[in-house]
Amino acid sequence: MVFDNAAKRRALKALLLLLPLFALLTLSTSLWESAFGPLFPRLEQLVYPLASFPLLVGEHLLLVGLSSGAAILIGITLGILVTRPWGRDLLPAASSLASMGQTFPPVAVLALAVPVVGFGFAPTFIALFLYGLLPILANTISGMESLDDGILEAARGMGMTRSQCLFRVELPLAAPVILAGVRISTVINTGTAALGATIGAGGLGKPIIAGLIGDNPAYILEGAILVALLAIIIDTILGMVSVARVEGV
Amino acid sequence: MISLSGVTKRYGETLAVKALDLSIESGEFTVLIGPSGCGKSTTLRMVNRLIEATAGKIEIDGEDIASYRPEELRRRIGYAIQSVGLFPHMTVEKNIAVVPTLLKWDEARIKHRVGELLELLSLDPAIYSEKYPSQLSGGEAQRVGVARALAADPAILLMDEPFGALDPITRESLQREFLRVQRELKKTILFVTHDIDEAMAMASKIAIMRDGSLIQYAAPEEILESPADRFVREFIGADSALKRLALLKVGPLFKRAKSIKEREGLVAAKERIVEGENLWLTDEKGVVKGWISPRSLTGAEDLTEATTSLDPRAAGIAKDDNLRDALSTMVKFGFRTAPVVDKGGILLGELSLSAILEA
Amino acid sequence: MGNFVTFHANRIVAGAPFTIFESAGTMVAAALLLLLAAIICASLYSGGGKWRDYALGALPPIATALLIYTAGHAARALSLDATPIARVSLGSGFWIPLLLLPVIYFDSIQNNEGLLAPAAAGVLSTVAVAVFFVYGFMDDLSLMKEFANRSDRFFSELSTHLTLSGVAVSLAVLIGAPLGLLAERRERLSGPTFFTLNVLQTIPSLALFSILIPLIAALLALFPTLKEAGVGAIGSTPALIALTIYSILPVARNTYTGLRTVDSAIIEAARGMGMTPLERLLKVELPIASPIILGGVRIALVQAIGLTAVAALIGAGGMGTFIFLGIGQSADDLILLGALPTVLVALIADGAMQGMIKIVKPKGI
Repeated sequence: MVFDNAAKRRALKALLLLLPLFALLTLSTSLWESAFGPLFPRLEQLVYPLASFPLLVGEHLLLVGLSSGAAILIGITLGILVTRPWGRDLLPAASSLASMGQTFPPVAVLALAVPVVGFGFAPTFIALFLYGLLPILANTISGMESLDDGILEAARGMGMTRSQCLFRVELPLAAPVILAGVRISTVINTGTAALGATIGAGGLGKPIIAGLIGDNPAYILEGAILVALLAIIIDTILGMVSVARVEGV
Repeated sequence: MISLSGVTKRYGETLAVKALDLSIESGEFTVLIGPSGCGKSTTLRMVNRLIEATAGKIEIDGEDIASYRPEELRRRIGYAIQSVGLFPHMTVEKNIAVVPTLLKWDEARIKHRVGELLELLSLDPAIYSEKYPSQLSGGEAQRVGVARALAADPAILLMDEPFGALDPITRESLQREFLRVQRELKKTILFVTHDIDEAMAMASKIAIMRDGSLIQYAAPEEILESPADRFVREFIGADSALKRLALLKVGPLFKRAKSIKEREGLVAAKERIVEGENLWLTDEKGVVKGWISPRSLTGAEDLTEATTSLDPRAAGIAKDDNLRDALSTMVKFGFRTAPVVDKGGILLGELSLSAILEA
Repeated sequence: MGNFVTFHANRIVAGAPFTIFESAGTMVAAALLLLLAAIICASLYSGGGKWRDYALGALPPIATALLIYTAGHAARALSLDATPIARVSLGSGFWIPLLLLPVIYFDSIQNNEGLLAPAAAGVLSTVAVAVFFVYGFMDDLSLMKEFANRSDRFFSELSTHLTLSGVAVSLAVLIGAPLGLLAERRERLSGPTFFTLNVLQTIPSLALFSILIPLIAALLALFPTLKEAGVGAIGSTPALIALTIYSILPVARNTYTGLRTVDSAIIEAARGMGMTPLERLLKVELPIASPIILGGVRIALVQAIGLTAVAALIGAGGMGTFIFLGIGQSADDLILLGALPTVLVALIADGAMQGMIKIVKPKGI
């Protein structure tokens, strides 16, 4: 594949537009007020009052960052372990667990965490971590498995040790597929984290839920627009990273 | 008969084919050849309108092909390509039946036709009918591709490097086989290749193209004997003389040879031999056993001592061998004169090096 | 199997855990454990050939049925001496094997040729489990008590759930397949089409569902006739729109890729033999692309079933109703009553689509 400069430029351009917009909408409440005032003349409260948007964005990012970070670390490690010669016995089980687990609806995973762990940040974190693990594990396995045997044999033949082979050949070559898994996983987590508001985890889902319960379309739109923008920004950034990694592969 | 007059294909600024005039007689095996990008494939594909000509007129049996619907036209013309393009979800039988089905033949007729074609191309219907393309070797797949092109018994066959992707051995056997099929069916064939040896082996007429223009259009012998220009000379290669030999047969060139049977003895041999010529030793049936030169005869005690023995199956030349193969045999065995024999090794005559050089 | 079931004196208080031996009795527990041990041995042991395939294909469904029976049996045993308000809920000793057994089962189906034994065991065990539930073996579990309290509602929400996801995916096929075809035929359109669909797919479900509420409300204010036609700002209308939007991408993308994978030589041969564009599409391209296109429908369907659970938040009903009701009331079993069937329906839909792809897939590909 050729290094796709055009795609990277497009993504950069989009970010130059999206990031300031997101910052503006997060930091300025008067913007929301002036926009929603004429739209919803009958509403008394135009901006979600219980927490500031920067705080909600922070909570959301913390939740996604921690859970996705853990999922990336563990997922890639597991994927590497089961594709080593001594871990191969577990490969079929790991790959069918990863593919079947992705059939589970994210909201059901979140709901099932409640009876086990209770309410709040912890169950949301665990659910997001477990669910986020699966695409990364699946993609690490398929990335490693799709490598040409000839390349590995050549690497070994040139005298690389197993770990040199892993870090200098296998991981760089499998990186595009692994990063695609990271992108899918993180974007899904950003969305599922919004549902975490229903079990008290905070984040940008809070104004949406409050708006749905209190019949306040302004709250709904504030939460929904911010979380949608956040997801698109994260997707664009991760997309850029994976495009950059494709160079030469 | 296919006739192209002033046929031009333009892509943007570039002219892929420039005002081409070409007329192909019915039953002729015409090979379009030239370096890549010369417009040979484009020309071929304009005949079944996979590519529409920018200008000019193509007629088949006097009718302008533009007057047909493209699909209708293509169903009347067989088409085979290098990558075969068998439909992977259909059996061999279904693949061959595609055009007859499009033409709404009845089932029994299609079935009969498929069996006939498989046999024509030396594929056992009992084994191959129900196979899928993924189960075929490259050579088998191309046979099916050719059978598919012949399915609706089209008068015209267009072939775009059909044997180009095969290994040399398979390619040669398929070429031979296809020539046999063509002798039987006498189709009008337009065949694209970039392989001059393939062109020389198959064509009854060769059209050499360069940069979208026709450079020379003639029978293979004529092209070898009198190439139109330096380009053609270079294209047919430095070994054009050898290529020409490949087109000539031993038959008309060999002459009667002198021979002697073993029991006739040394004296008879001495009487019969002529200075500067060899004598062939044969058994009672006439099978060549060896040769005797005037020099080996002097001082020899008997016929056996004077004879250099040879195996007629290895060192003999057949009447319908081409001169290139004959020359190769002669060089291999160090002959100035080689025995021409029939299948049983019986001496028919001899072929001399000078006869080849004069040809 | 440390915490197989948990006994609560009533719905609210914390419970006491029981092992499988304590709750289900030695005989039943030993039988189940032996079966599980056999499956684990077979899955770790790489030799054995045909017998291993049989064991891994046929034993997991049987063990699943036995596991479910054991749970019902344990709940009944514990409930015998208890008051009617006591609850017996399921513990990790039940859930972990219940999760692992299907993984082993589906893994073996995918990797082995023979489908008869696994299919027979699967059908038999499903019938057995259905019998356990219908004839009340399971009634003493707290989950079933929640179900008993709401059985009418359960089935109506289940049917709402299936209808919403089914209709959304059908609409997505009607929109997405032509869109994928168009993108493949006019390459210029593929960039913008998939960019838009990708952005829409990226929007979190809660956001898209809820953004539609004020949007549709505004539309209704502009065109009151829509309201008379039964369109509402909350409930099934926004849910159906959002679910359809999410389902279009997998269908369109796989239609596009499926058609793309058809070898150019095959297209050339089809044209060269005189197929019209329509004949080429119907007889050559679609059959070859069908497994990939159906793969897209499979992804869309599984995804839609999960997302429909979220739609309960905007009043569209479905199994999410129980999940969010349970979350609101801190009633774990009510959450399970919503979440478990959602997972089960998603798994069944996934398996059914995989089976269908296997059947529809043309031979020779």
